Amino acid sequence: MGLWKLLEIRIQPEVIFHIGPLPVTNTLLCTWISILILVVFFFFATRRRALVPSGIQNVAEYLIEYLLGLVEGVSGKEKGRRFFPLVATLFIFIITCNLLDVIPGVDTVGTLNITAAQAAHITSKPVLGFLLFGDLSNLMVPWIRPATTDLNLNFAMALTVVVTCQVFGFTTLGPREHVSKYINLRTFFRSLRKLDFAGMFQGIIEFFVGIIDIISELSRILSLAFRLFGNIFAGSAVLAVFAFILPFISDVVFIPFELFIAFVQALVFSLLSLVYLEMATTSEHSAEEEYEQKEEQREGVAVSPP
Amino acid sequence: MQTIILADLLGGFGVNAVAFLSQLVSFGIVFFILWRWAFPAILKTLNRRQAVIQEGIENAERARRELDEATERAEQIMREARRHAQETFEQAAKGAEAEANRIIEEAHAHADQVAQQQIARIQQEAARARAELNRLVVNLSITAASKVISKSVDSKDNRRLVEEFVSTNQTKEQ
Repeated sequence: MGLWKLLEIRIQPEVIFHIGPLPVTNTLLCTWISILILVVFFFFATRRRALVPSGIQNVAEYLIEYLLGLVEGVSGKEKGRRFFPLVATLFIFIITCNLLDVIPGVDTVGTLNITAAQAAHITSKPVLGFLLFGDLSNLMVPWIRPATTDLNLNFAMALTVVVTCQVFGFTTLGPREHVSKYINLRTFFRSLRKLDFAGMFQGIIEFFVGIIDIISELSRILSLAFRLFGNIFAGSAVLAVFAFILPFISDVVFIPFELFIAFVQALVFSLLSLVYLEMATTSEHSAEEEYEQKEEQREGVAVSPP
Repeated sequence: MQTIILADLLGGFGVNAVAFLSQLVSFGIVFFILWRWAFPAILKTLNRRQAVIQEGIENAERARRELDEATERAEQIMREARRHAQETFEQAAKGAEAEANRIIEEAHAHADQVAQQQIARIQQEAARARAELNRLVVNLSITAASKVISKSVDSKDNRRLVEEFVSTNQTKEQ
């Protein structure tokens, strides 16, 4: 019997307790803790609102200013202000959830899975009543597990992004323009009236491109959710495995790495969301016209005598 | 069939409707809190600070402009004062020169006048002395003649003769 056994890595979050009919999983608990942390953080950050910021107010303002600059840099001032709340929420919430992964106690404090212990015919008891060693060491159900290692949360955020894209697309471009991005038969019918077969062929291609765009929109939910889940879950698993192989020392290497991953993944998720929002609110026709105008201008400049 | 496979796949990852909805609601709550309360509060502070900084920059710019204007005004006043002082000095110099000339002319005139007066007085004194001398000569001549001829001569005749003599001599001298 070894001192430790490698933790059993489970993809599914475990139910810790129930509130009425609602099963509370360890990831849902982590989500609520993250919300609590954010509420406390912003409460203290916005409590005094001094003109010369210091301490936690400085951190919050730097973060918000950085995110606002990022969003306005991509989408411009007008649209940036509309996208900012969602993009900033995604970044701040995801990074908070991700950073909880490296807090001591997360994934390592929990309840002994007695059912599994009985099934494995393990008779040993926890040392001092709470420390798990030997055969018991991998039979723990953690109370808190990083929220972003739960696909439910990632799907919820990704779905929110995609639905918001559609809402902004409808309100910015108008229903007709927005729907025509996905169901585009305009070129086909226009060519049909003129009996232009090449145009009809192009119209059919545009129609199928629209169908592919619908699939692309749906696949964004999967890509956003699984990318975040995969990276954070893998990081969590790496920390657990290396903590088993090389306790204490491995943390020196992997915890800074995990902090970096936590930041990068939060940034990737929020930036991709921003790009999707920007794409949803940009008219294809206006983009084409703008491109053609630029081309014409460039050709005009090239042809005109010096 | 594919839907069942996808559902099984997602189920294997622990995705289920209740957990999904609870996470969705949780995310909605955090989004609502940040959107309605945290972000506006911080953005308001940032905007207020930006306005204060903008105002400070504008005030500094205005103060600099006013300082430039004041410096320009001060230089203009200095130039004006220097020009005025120069004019005053030149006027004073001209005035002093004119006054000096006037005093000198007056002195010359006064000196001429005094000289004329002195000459007139000398001439007057000379005429008076000459008349006195004539009278003394007449008296002396009469006295001398009386003694020489020892004869009393009518005084009126003598006097007339001497005076004619003296006046004849004076005419000759002149």
